[in-house]
Amino acid sequence: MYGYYKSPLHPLRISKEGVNLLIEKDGNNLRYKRTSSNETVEKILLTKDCGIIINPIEVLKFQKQLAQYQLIEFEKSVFVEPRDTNNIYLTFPVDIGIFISGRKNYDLLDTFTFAKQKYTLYGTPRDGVICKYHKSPVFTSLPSNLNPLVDGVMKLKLINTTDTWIEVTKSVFDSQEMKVYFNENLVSIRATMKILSGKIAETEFISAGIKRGMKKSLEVLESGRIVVSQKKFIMEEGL
Amino acid sequence: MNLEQILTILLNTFRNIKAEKIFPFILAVGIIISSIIIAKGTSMLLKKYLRDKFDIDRLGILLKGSYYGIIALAVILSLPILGIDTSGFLVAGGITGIVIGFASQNIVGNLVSGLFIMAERPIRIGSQVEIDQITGFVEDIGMMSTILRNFDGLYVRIPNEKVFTNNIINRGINVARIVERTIGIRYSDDTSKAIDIIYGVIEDHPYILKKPNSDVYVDEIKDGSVNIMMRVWTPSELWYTTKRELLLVVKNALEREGIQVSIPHRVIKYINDKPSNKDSN
Repeated sequence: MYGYYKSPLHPLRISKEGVNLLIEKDGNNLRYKRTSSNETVEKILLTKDCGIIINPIEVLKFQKQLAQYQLIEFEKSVFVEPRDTNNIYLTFPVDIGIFISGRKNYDLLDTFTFAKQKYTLYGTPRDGVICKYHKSPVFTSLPSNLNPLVDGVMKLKLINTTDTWIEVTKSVFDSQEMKVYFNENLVSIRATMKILSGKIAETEFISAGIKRGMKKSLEVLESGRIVVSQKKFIMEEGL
Repeated sequence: MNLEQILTILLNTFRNIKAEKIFPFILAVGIIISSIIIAKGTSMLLKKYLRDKFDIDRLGILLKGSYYGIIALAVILSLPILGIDTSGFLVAGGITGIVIGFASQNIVGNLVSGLFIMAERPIRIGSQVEIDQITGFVEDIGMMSTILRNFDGLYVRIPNEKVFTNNIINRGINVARIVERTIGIRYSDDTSKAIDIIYGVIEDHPYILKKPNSDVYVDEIKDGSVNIMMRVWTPSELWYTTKRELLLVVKNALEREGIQVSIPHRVIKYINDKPSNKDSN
């Protein structure tokens, strides 16, 4: 499904996992239609020909004001040795962006996801943040047999800077800084979690794929829709 | 008049100026120059500390007020040094002040309250608030009054003194809020199963937060129904949407599993057997 669909597009039909995408001629212009069991989106494209790029995007879906942060809860907690660095692999829900391109420019046309949507509160109602929620199994090696349209893989480097064993049960990120890489079989992100104390950690995304030759996704940020505020997220409300 | 004559006049003028006359003049000028420097410094300090607390327009007014206020005070203090009697000004100013003070008590009260509201910031533009039993969205916070748009879309102006001295409930200041809903089921239905179904609905609803945990329990045993209370957390900006949706999705889910929402009814039981026609006769 991911990739660049060149002009002429009409008609372009893609059907995956119960979602149907259609671009067809509508008079002198084009008509975009996405249908699924619970949603239909239609848009008119005032152009005779354009390209379409479909790729995974950073977390931005549905309620944009709620999607700034992503909390991944570990199915099993992880103990990190004092002054040690280790990599673990987690899953994250993939959001898919459809970009329209032409005349050396592109913009976001539509977004959707096959993953379940759920939100949670990290911290207290007064000082906390609303995060997109995902519960992930913890892998010590790269997991296989994941559906790249639903689940991506996060390679998380856990850095324990303290002199004590630390139990980690979750990780929170500022998802506006997500750098998503993909190929046909895998969607991935890389991140670090620097543990500063038993209750505080600093998380950050790294702009690199977890396998060689992976392609960097077009970002909604780059298409000028969102202003990035900060790069790192400080987890102050517990690990 | 030639150059020599001009120089002679100037020299005579300078000779006639005495030190005791020039010193107060220099002192007054010094005070005013110092006051300008102090005013500048005060403005910079206020700007630094109040930048985050006031919006830029109002901060500008406050900075100009403090700047010119300090300079005006310095000028008034300098006048007696130059031999100008200011007692007349002070008496006149005092009387005028008292008169204006009485006349504009409420206006000054609103103005001062406005400054405190801007500094304390219990409400923000866009917040959903309840002030003095008026509920609505904050449209503007002015120096004298606060403007709300109530839920009927009406413009409501509340004087700042009232805003400041009344209890304020800000419904949007916390990122998450609780939605409370009650649903009544029949006595004949399995209550534990109903609670499990409701927890399932809560788990599937995207905007009911995973944490803090939701609470579902039997709240009341009423005449015709077992009332189940649902207390769930939702993002504040989606509170109304979630509240509106919750009861419907729960009702539909219960009905799909054969659990009916109770309707008001009364069951009449006779203590003895129902009287037969014969007995009645």
